[in-house]
Amino acid sequence: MLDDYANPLAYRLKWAYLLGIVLILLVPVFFNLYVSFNEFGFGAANYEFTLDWYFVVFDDSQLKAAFGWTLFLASITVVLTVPAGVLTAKLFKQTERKVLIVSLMLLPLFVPSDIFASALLVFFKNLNQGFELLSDSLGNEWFYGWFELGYMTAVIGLVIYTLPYVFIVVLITMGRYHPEQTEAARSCGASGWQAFWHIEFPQIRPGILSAASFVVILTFNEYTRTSMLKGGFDTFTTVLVSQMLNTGMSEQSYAMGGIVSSVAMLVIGGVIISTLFRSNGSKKLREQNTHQSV
Amino acid sequence: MTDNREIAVELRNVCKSYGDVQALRSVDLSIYSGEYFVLLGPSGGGKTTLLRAIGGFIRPSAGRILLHGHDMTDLPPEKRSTSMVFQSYALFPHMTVAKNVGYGLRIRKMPKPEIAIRVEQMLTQVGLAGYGERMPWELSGGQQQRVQLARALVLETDIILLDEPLASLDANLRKDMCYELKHLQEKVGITFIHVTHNQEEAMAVADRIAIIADGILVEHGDSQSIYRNPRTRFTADFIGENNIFDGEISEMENGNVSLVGSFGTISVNTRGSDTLVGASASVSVRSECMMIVSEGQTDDSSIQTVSAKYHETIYLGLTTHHMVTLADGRELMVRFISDAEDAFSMEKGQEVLIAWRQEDGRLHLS
Repeated sequence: MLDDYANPLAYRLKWAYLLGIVLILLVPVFFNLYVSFNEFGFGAANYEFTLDWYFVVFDDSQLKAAFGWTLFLASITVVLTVPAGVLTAKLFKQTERKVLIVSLMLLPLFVPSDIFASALLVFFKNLNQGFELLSDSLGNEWFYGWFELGYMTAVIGLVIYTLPYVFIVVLITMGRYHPEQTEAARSCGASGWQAFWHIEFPQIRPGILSAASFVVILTFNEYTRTSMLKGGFDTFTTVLVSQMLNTGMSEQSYAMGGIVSSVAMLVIGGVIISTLFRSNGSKKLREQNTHQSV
Repeated sequence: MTDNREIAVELRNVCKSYGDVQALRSVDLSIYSGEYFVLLGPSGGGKTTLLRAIGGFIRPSAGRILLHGHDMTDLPPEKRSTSMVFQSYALFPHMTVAKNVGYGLRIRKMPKPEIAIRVEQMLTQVGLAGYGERMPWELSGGQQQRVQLARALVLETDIILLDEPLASLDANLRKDMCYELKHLQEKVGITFIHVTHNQEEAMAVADRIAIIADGILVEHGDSQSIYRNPRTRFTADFIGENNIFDGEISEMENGNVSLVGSFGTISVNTRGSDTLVGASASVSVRSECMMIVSEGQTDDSSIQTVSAKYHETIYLGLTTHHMVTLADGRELMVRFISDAEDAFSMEKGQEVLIAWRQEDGRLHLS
């Protein structure tokens, strides 16, 4: 109890409230999982545990292909977005006009996804036409199809979408890092890069892992931007949504939802546990130093 | 004392500005090899800026920084023959003590077995033998600072920069660490440049002290002369417990001048300073050189006196401070060793005479 004079009943009510919020957030996810293990599906009077719907999902070649594409899309997005986000956060910490830059960086998060996707679609169409005109004027076909809808445009859309998240997550983690450590490393003879890689990176790694996991989850969850910019291939979510629209929610759909939410929870849970363990040492050192300086 | 020794650090007209704020103003200074040099001054005076400029963490706006005669002004920290010890937080929390100490050697690509030997030797030197496998948070504040020191010393650089290294330690530990730092510096014989705002700390360790305030190198010299004979009024006000009289020079005779102010007239030796009648000046007197006397005790013409009113007595254990007030309302402090003082009682507002020997007064023209 933080407040020694708090009313015990009020204290219990606070905990009940927190528990209630957690339940509200998790009940739909667990209900989806519950349904996905029922042989008789959603709304049936009987419940019999089965893994059959998951086997059906893994036997579906279209879904497997979509899963593979999504994973590939997520991997490329992580590879592009995470280093870009880390670099942006690092440079941001050294700038003076912080409010302006952070506002511009976070702006894409406040644009509705369908408007954002439509804008990108129009942009790529025009860009493609511009490049074709350039090729025509040069008398060759070098620049044909560079920005035709496909894998690259989907990746660009996802990078623009996920970069602000990576930036903010990494920035928060960097806020706990004390820059004197970088100076200490430089004083020991390390270059700027060595100081970052040996000293700062291991301490902000939990944030970077969280950001990477976040990008993977966002990529798997994203429908609007991906469906408008993807061109010919399918992703896990576009297949899931099209199945829902065409045939309604099947038991297989619940199993797919169960897979996505379980993977997301496992990844996030893993990152949180690893962060807690890793930050324990730094926290102790900071607390000790704070007590000494008081 | 050290003029014929090799110069480790030479600062030539070093300036640093942040927009309109001038953090350093034309600092010229030479620090000798093997010297324990302290940069002392009030907070925000520019001493840390100067130390960081020497270490390569700040690029001066103007001027040059030479280390052992080589111009290092444009080189980053890793290219300089300096190592730095920070006030706090600068141990790498994800590394053991041994890895912290050996980090610089690892950067130099020294073979691991050799690193292990050097680290162990250095930990022994700073009194932390056997602590190599501990994590930084398992150490006390003093031990953490020793690890920082070991990490700097193991590199065998010529110059160690210490930025308020004892500021986060408690008073007792700070005192012990002061002596340890001094002994260690004497043992290794390299140049230590130590920044602090604590004058006792500075006096305890320094061969020479530089006073820095408002970005200006006010004055520098050995600890004793800075304490006993401060050249400037600022230093007299900052170092020790001095009473300062501001006034105008009214008379000059035989190397002595008379200073006139609201306190009356006092005489002081110029000690060779060039001055003129009518010039503004100050006289400082260390509070331990002052006495509270009765009329009959002031017959000697070399004894200077001012009239004051007794205000209060503050007992501080070793010393006792008597506070008196001048006619213009300014307060003076007279300091005695508590047990050496004859007990006397005074009432608040009682007229007293404050006296000191003429040679204890120091004339300040700036």
